[in-house]
Amino acid sequence: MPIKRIIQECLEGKEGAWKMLINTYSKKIFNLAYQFSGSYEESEDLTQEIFLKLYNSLSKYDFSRNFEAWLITLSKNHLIDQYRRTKWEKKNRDDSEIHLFAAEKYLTPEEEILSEENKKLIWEGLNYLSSEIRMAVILKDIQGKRYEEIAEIMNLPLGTVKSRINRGRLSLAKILKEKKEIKNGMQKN
Amino acid sequence: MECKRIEEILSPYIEDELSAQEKQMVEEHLKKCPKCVSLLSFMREVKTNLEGLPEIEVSDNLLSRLYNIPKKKKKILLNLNFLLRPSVQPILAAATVILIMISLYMFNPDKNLINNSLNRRVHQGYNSCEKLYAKAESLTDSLSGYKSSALSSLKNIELFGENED
Repeated sequence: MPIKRIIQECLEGKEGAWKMLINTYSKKIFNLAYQFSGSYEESEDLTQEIFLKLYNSLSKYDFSRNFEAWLITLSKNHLIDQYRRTKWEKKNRDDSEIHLFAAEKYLTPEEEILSEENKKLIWEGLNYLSSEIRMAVILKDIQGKRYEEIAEIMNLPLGTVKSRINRGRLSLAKILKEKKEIKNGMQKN
Repeated sequence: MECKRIEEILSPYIEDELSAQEKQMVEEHLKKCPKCVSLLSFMREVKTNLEGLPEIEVSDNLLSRLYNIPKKKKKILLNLNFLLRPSVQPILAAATVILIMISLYMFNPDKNLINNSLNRRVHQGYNSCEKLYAKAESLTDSLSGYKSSALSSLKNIELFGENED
């Protein structure tokens, strides 16, 4: 069923429509919350808060707009607001092995080690990015959005979006480089 | 081209979004700058690894909580719906005004002054009522007196000239 019809049925209070909406978007929003916050438990609560906000504001949805972009904007605003209130950067991210790499399948043991090590460093490195840059990088490189979509979601000019993503990637690259150099230095010793 | 300028355009370089001229300038710089070559390599790794981060499944517990959002909302709305009835609005408005006045009184720093002033006014009012009551009593007495005189005058009126014979 097309998404706008599902929304219409939600507004009419039809049985099963809300459940269909949850089934369509819960995974995407939950993963966005998890990638942004770095905490599994926190992201469950955040997801519930986001869908509660969605339920309360569904009547204000403009049917001429792309629903997914509208929902992600709502999610982004909530995640960044909560981040500013609670300052997650002071907390450590979940150990990436617990949730992320349990889902992975590797071809060779070497590939597994290299891949996990890099991913772990980059996952932790996300914590060092500011909320706006972190969100831009997540939307582009993890969620796979186009620059124009991100500009619409974040309500920013295209140039600003590209600049933020570049800065985010640069920061993560420098963190990765630094940590690997430290590790290589320790191994030589 | 300086390293700082190169850093600013490494992302579009990786995504092949630079003009031919810019691309050539970057490649010229990379031929002589191992630091930027290394940085470029790490940026590619970052992009690849972020793209490879897997999505995780939503737990059944969370799904259940999300499905139940409309039911929780309905419960709250059912309990408070009566407050929206038009007949209840004047009562709510009056209650609001009274609550505001009580709050202004309760949290007023000069509460004692208000209490004294209210006491004085109540006593003044009481005294005035007492005086009015006393006046009313004396008026009643006066009226009773006039009533007696009027009655006795009426009795003494000679209607048909009886006392002339």
